[in-house]
Amino acid sequence: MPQLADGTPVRLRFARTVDSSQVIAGEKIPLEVVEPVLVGKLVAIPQHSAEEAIVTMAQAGRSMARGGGLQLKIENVRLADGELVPVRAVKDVEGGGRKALMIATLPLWAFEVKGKSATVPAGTEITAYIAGDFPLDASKFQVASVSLQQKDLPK
Amino acid sequence: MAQAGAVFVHAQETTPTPPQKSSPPAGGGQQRSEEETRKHLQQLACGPSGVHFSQHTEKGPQVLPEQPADKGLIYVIRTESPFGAMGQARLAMDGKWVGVNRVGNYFYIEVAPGPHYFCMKAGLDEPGLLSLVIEKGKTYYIRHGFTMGGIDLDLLDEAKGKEYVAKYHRSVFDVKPKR
Repeated sequence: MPQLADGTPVRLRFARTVDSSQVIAGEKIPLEVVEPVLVGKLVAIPQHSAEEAIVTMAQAGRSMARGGGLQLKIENVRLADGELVPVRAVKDVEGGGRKALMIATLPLWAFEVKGKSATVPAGTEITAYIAGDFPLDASKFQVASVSLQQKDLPK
Repeated sequence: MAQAGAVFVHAQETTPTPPQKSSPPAGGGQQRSEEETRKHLQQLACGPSGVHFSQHTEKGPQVLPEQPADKGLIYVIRTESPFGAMGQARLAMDGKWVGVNRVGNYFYIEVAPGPHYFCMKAGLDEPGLLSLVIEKGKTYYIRHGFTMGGIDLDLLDEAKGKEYVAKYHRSVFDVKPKR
């Protein structure tokens, strides 16, 4: 049986700009899958499918120009058959004028931005990683087009 | 530094659709401005007017609570500041006043998991606002302090929070009955 393996990367993109002064904890932030996730010839997660992050902390800009704060969490991604599988983060990154941290808080995935505007621009890409091994029922997944399969082959 | 910058630049270059500013409120609908968000959060978080507390500082040995397995534990800490040092600062959560601190005080509350909304008020200043999703079995440290610009509510990391709790004294309070 084909299996979605632990650690498989899922590239996600913010569908909208997220500003800490315009969101409240508990709200959902739309994400889009950047490229399909393939398991052999099967499309486990289609390109452009919708995923979501949850705002876990929101703080508008503070006094004395000390900036605001924003934390987001991605717990799951949805497979093509509708099943939700957990994801995690494995990277820390920092920089870009404002400070941006990706924090691994297994099994949850958190993203934090601090800065004057505490803003994550639309189009920002992040990578989540499948947390665990998940067998796939091949009858529930579409077979990828030849071009997608070739793209996935080692060069 | 360069790594994240590269992530952001790359992301912006590959955006396939024009950016849509901000997220709408939960459930979709119209985009919400900063001012609308602040008002909405204030309505969710702040308590009613006319509630007052009697308060004193417990200076005896401190016994800290056990972390409940099915709830979050929140310490609310008021740090020292040259501004607003004399008055009480009240914290409301989800529309209800839950405690009060003076400078160098803390108190704690146990909170059900899920999103919660916090409002700190003192006198006539604009309230400090913060929203958090609380997870069961976790401890949170919220600091409030006064600046020239108003009241801020910050989420502290565990090490800093513990440091303040060890150094400061617990605030003990009761709601004053209405006359």
